[in-house]
Amino acid sequence: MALLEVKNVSYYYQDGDNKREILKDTSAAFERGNFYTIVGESGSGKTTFLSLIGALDRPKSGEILLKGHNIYEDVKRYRQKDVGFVFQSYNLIPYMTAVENVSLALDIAHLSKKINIKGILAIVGITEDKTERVVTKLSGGEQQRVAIARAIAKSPTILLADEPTGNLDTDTSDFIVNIFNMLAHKMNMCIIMVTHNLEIAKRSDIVYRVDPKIKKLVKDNV
Amino acid sequence: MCDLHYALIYAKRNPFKIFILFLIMLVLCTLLVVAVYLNLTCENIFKELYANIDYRSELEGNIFDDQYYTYNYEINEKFKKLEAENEELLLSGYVDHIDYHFGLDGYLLNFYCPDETYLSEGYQRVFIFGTFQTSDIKMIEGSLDLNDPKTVIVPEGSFYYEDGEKVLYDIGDTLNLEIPAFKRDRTNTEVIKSDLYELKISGIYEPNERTEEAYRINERLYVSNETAKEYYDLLYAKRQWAYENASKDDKASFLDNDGVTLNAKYYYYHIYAKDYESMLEVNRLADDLSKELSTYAGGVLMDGYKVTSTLDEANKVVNSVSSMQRSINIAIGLLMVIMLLGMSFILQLFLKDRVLEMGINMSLGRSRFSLYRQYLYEHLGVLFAAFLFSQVNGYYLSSLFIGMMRDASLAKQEEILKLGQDTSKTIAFKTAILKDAYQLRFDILPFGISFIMIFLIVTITLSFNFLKVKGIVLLDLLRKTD
Repeated sequence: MALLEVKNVSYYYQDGDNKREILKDTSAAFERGNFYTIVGESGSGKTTFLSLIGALDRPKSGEILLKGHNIYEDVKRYRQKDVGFVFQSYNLIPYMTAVENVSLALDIAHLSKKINIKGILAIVGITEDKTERVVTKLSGGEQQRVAIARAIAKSPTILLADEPTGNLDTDTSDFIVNIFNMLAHKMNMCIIMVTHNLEIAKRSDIVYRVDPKIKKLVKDNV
Repeated sequence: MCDLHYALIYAKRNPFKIFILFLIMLVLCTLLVVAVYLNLTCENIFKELYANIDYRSELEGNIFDDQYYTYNYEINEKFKKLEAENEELLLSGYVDHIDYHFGLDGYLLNFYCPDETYLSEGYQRVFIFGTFQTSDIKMIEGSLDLNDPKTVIVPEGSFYYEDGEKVLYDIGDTLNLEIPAFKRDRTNTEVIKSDLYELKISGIYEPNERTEEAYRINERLYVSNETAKEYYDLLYAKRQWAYENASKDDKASFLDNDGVTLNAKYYYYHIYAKDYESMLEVNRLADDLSKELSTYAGGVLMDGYKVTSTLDEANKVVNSVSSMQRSINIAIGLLMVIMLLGMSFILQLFLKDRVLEMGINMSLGRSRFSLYRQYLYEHLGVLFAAFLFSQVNGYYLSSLFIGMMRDASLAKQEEILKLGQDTSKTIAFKTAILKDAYQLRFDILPFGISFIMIFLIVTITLSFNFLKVKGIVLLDLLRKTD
C-alpha cells in the first residue's frame, strides 16, 4: 500500500454557470523515501493538486488516502502531524522570530518543546545569531529556510512544497533541493514539490506532469 | 497550546497596534467610570435638594452637634398670645425643624417631620413629632391648632383605663398628653425632654372598626401614613372628613384669616400648599415669618442657609442640575457610541490584517477556537491595563465635571438669592449642604460597573468581528498563478 494514494480525484471551479474543470479522475501514488516533483504549464492544476493532497481544499469527487485512511476523516490531525508545508511566499508569522515560528508548529502538533529547534534551524542553514530575529528581518532565502525548518521540525511523513525556490537565487534553490533530497533519502520522508523549473525537477526521483488536455497527472521523463 | 504565550508575543511585537487599542479602551472605560460617578453624585445632589427644598413653606434651623439655640420670637398677635403657653414646647431650642401651615384656622403648627429625611454628614436634627404617645393611649394622631391649642382631635375608639376598665374617649374629655421632644439622628432617637399637656378632645374621627385608616378623596384612596407625603395626605383626608361631618355651625368655624368660609377644596389647598394658590399664600406668610425670624432669632439661620424667592425659582436649581446631568450623560453616551464604533472598526481592520496569519495557523492544524483564545487574551490584557488607568482618570475627570456642575448651580443659587431679596415670596434653601452634596465620593460601583461593561463590550466586539472575518482561504497561502 502506497503512503499516499490519490484515487480518481476530480476538481473544478464553479464560475457562475460555467464549470472550469482542473482535474478529472486523476490518480497517483506516493511513497516514503522519494522526492517527487510536479510540473506543468501555468494554470494546469499543479497547485490545486497540492492543495488537495495537503487537505487545504477538498476534491469534488474521488478520495485521497494516507496509509489507507481518507485524509478528510481527521483533517486537523493530518495537518498537525502528517503533513508539512513549504510555500513559495514562506508564510511565516511575521511578528515572530525564527525559533518562535518553529516552536508554534511544534506547539500546535503537541510535540515536546525539548526538540532542538536551533539545531533544526542550523540544519537548514540559519545561523545561531539569526534564530532570535523576527522573521521579517531575514532575507527571502533565510525565511524560506525557516519555513522548511518549521515544516520538518515535527517530522511529518509528507512534505509538500509549492514552488519553494520560485523567489530565491540559484544557490539557495540548490541548497533547498539538496535538503529535500536529503529529507527523502536519509529521513525517509515523502517530498512532493510543485515547480516550474525543469532543472530542479530533473533532480527529483519521480516527476509528474499535469496534462492540461486530459487533466490528469501523468509520470514524465524529464 | 499556550495561547497566552503567543498573545504576549503579539503584544510585545506590535506595540503601536496595542497602544491604539489601549487608548480606545481607556477612553471607553473612563467614560463609563465618569458616567457612573456622575449619576451617583447627581443622585446625592437630588437627595439634598429634595430634602432641603420643600414643597411646603418652611424655615429650617440646624442643631449642629449638641449645640442648640434658644430664642424667642413673635410672629404676630396670635403668636404673641400663644407664645407663653407654647414657648417651652415650640421654642425650647430642642426644636430643629418646625413646619408652619398658614391660612386655615389661623396659624397651624404641625409637629411633624418626615422619617425619610436625608441628612448630610455632620448634621443631626431634633424633632418634635405630631404623633404623641401617652401611657394610657396607644396612639393619638392630630395636630395642635394654635387658635385652640388645648384641643385635639382623636380617632374614634381611643381609650384610657379607669380602675382597670377600658373607657373610650368622648368629645369634651380631657386628655393628658406627655409630649416628648426627640433628638434623632440616623440611628438613634433620644427623648430629650418631655412636657405634660392637658388637651380637651374637640373632635373624634374615623370609625374604629376599620383596621387601617382609609380615606377617599378625589377618587384616591389614602390608607397609611408611613411616609411624609402619605402622612400629609392622611391628615388632609382627616380634615376633609371632619369638615364633611361637621354640623352647619361647626363648619362656620372653618374660617380663614379674613373670616371667609372655606369650602372643602379651598381648605385642602391651604393645608397642603402644593397648589399654586396656596403656595402664594404660604410664601407670603413665610416671608413674614422669615422677617420675624431675622429679627428675633437671627441665629437660627446658620451661615449656610440662603433664602430663595419662590418654589419655581428653587426648582430651577433642581432643573439645572438635572439638565446638566442629562447633557453630560448624552455627551458621554454619544462619545461611547463613537468609541465603540471606532473600536469595532479598528478591531475589524486589525483582524483583517491577520487573515493570512489565521490561515497559516490553520494550515498548521491550529483550531479557530485556539486562535480566538489568543486574540481574546491579547485584548483582555490591554483591557485590564486600560481599566486600571481609567479608574484614576475617571475619578479626576468626574471631579472636574462635578466641579463644573457645582459652580453652575451655585451661580444659579446666587441669582435666586437676588430674586428672593426683591420679592416677598421666599422659601428656605440650604447652600452649605448642597456644596457638601457636590463632593465626589469614592465608590465601588463605578469600579464594578465599568469593569463588567468594558469586559462585555470588548468580548462581544471581538467575538463579533472574529466571526465576521471572511476570506481565511487556505488556498491563498499557495500561489495564485495556478
